[in-house]
Amino acid sequence: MTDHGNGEAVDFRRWLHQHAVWTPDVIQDIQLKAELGRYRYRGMSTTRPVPNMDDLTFLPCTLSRVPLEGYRERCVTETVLGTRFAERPVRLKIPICVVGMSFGALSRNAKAGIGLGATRAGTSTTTGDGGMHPLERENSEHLIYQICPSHYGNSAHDMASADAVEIVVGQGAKPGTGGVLLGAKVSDEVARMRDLPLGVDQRSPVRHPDFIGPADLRLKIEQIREATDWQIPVYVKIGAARTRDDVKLAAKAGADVIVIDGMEGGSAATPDILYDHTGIPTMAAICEARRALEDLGLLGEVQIVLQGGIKNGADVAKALALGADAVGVGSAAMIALGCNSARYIEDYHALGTEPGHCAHCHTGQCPVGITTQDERLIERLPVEVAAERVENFLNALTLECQMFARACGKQDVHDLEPEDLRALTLEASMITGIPLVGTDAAFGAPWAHRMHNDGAGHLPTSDVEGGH
Amino acid sequence: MDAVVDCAGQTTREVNRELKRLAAEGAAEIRVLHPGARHCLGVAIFEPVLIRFAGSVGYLCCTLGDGARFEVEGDAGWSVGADMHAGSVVVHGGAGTNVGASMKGGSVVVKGSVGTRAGIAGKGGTVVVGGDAGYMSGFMFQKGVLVVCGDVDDGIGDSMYAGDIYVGGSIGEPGSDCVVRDLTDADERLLHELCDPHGLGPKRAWTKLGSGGRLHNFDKREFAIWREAM
Repeated sequence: MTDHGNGEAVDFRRWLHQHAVWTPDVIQDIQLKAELGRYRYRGMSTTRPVPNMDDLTFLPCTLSRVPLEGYRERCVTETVLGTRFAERPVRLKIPICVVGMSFGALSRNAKAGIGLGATRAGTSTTTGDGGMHPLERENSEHLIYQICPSHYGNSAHDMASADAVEIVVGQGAKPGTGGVLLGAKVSDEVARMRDLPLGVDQRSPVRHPDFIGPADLRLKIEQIREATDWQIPVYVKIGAARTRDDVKLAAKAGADVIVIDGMEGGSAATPDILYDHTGIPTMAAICEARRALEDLGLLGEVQIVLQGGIKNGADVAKALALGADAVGVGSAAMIALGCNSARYIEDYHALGTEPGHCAHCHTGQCPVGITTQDERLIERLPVEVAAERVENFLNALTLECQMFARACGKQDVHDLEPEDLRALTLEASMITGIPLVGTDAAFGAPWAHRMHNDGAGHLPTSDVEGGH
Repeated sequence: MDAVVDCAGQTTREVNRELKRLAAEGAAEIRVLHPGARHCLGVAIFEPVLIRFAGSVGYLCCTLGDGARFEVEGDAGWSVGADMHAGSVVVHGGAGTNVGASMKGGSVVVKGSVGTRAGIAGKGGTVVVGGDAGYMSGFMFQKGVLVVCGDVDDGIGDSMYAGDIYVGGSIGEPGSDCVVRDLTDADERLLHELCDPHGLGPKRAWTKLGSGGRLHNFDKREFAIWREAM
């Protein structure tokens, strides 16, 4: 104790330092690793703020343009994916799909509920790393079949029963690294479908066992087309990193649809250090993807599905305006199912967390029955309840997206365009090439000239010719 | 009389459609002329037809099958027999990388030598290589049997979850957590059963390899094996 001379006692033993580097989170992280001896896992997605579509705002019609009636005038949402080579493109009623999430990561009731909800909303859902669960096929009118690098549960019969095949090159949560399913979730059924020993910590490969690199991808796509008689589209899913190059390579390899999964993309189990320090944000990825297809003259011919942190109808509308043909929701669909809802509070406490903060998907102890293989917990998520919530959420996103389109005077949500947007921050302006609010200046645009010129304003040969 | 399909003048799509049509009509045997090392021939054929390629085939041939039997009279490119559920592939020459990748059932026999990663991510069935196999063969093997009658390069059985690997020749540096097991009479019988019909591997000094199980679940006391994993 000391006295400052004014009669106030100051206890220096209770001085709470505010460290810039050694924050409480960092201290906890280091101390946990000192116990674990390995990296940490968690579910959900990155916790760090990254430039995102909240940094954009729409410019609705006022006097200079005429809006549509926001609550009632016709505004088309039908979406067609896979028009390039497939006999039977995927025809959806809305521009919002459900992304690939594995049976294993998710419970069978979650997969069936998502399938049924998506079906009722008129859209597709996607299998995941672990094969096609029969309940999922049964409940999903439009089912996209993923071929992941692990090839778990890979079957030509399931492929033939699918509405499209999605070759997974990577995911936004951890581009460049394979999936994880910890032993607590490798139940009898999961182990059987994946041909794995029961209870093993499954760490999936990142490279496919049967092809490597972009030249082989062309052959892999040909193989899938031969297996499915060129009837259904072939999607290629890429974790957003060198997106402009990757999209060109996938398009040149013959993809019908390219799925871009940004840095905010979710996962049921990922080393948390990878969430926060790999990949590029979703908003940046769609801009690179669009430019890549423009470079090749394939914009519109190859469709883009954008995913990674899509949370509301504003994100959907902005994604479409920036060049996506559709978006995918994963984490948001799980939250719609009841992820992090304030029920079974004591089970959240047992995991050391609270509703609204839970990211314990990797433990298999999901209090609300979504990311678990524990029968006692799965019962907490009846399929019908799950389906209704997913359908409601997808419908709400659609209505929100339509409001933006109508306010911008568009009779089709796919007519939204960059000109409908303005950037609220300099960095969003530089990333998207969209003018900063209150200016006519598109900081950073045109990107190609800034990023790839030779000093005299000439594009490199690869860009002129479409690259690669 | 056996059916004949001539690749000359036809696209791969046309050839595969013809193979599937003939197989669906109940053809017992189809001879495919002039395959020309073309890729993606014989994909996803589910009938128990015997398809003989009169020459070499390219990448991803005889894949995703469920019941079809193939013979390749020449060599095969990458990933021959990959993702097969049931059926068989016999390659009379050699083959490239990833032989029988992620196979779930059936058998692939390559009488010559093969490239790297033979049997990668195997999920069932048997892969038999008459000659040598390259680096990282049996990588992440999950289930089934991989037999290499000749030598194997470094990394055999790296990170394998389960299954059995037999090597008749020399072994480079084994992969992480790939361990030697005792060879039993049952193993000897299995090897005769797999090799004898093809005239492969007589009088070999077989080594049996399997998973040590140390990579199944993380243990911080086993840190070295995780850091050094190939």
